[in-house]
Amino acid sequence: MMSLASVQNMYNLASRQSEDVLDHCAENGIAFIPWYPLAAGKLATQGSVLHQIADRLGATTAQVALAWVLERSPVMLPIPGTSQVAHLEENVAAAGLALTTKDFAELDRVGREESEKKKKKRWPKSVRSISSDARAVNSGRDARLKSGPYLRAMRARGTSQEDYLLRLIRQAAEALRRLRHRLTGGGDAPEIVRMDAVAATEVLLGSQAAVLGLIDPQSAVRLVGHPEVVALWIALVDMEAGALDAMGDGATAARRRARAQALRDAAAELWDAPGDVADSTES
Amino acid sequence: MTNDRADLRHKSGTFDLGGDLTVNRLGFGAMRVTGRGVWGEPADRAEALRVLRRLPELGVNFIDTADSYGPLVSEELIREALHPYDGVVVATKGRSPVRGGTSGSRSDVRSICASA
Repeated sequence: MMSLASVQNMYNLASRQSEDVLDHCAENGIAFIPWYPLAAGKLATQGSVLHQIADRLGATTAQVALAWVLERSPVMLPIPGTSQVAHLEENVAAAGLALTTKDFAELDRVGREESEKKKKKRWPKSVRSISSDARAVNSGRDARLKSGPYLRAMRARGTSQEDYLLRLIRQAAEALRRLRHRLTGGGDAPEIVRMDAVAATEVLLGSQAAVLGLIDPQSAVRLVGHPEVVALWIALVDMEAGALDAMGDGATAARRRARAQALRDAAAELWDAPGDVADSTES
Repeated sequence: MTNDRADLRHKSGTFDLGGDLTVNRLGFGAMRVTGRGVWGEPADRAEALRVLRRLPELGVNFIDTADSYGPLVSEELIREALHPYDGVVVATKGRSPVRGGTSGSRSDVRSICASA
């Protein structure tokens, strides 16, 4: 049996759903790496218990939240990240904050309360509808998809969703340009280019990437629901095929090319706008 | 700097990863040293390198990264700032199976580690 060295779960002062996992880790000497270790949600508001303790210690609420997480268990390995030296030094200083037993217990109590409150909130309907579509498609029952709740939800969510999509599209187009350069003249190993094309595809398609890779091209294109995203996806699959050719794996390359062509055909059928997707990403 | 290091070890203690790899408990996640959306180069590359070089000075000797951060940007910055990683443990990830992607097989994990 494989032995586990560490676990990474969502955990912070105000997100306590993994208490049982943490306890199991502590009993078995497994490292527990908490996601978002500095977060405290609504606990950080002015006048709150967390804020009062932070003021008394001359610290920030994030520092106290981190000190609490460190104090919670000896197997806890928080790895807060930052791009600024000053912020890094603030985080490291939190390791030196001494919480009294009373402070620790009080923070524990308000943190659990906040975590319980969050648990009761449900996902928005649009999100639930997307995940049930994905489930339906995944198990071969795509009748729900034909009614297009995903497409309607995308439109209904309006501007902020559009901004997010635009950002994803821009990022994927940039990645594609870089990868093209690296494959043709950048001197990078094709294995690395292939890996990056796959990574870029995962970022572009998000949490549905695995499902989209498995289902038939017509359903996949409808589920993505956005011509630009599909165009970039196809271009990345072609890029992967190019890298596979360079690696000498012609058989896999041919399969990836066939998949790209099938997606292209499905997109053309759905949106009635064939176009050359590869060129549209160059501009 | 020596004092800082002693301080951190004293303050939050150490953990033995896998039972035999001792690191100070407060580590560093290297996702944020990339560009917006964990994509591409960071806005301030020089500051990102300063952050990474400050880590061992502050006694932070456990760094978590992934080839998908950037992609590759995070790992490349860590190499530039900290190679040959004297006393620093860098943890990276072998991805879970995705069709057409890395499989988590030994050769894929090796290629990810070699690129770090």
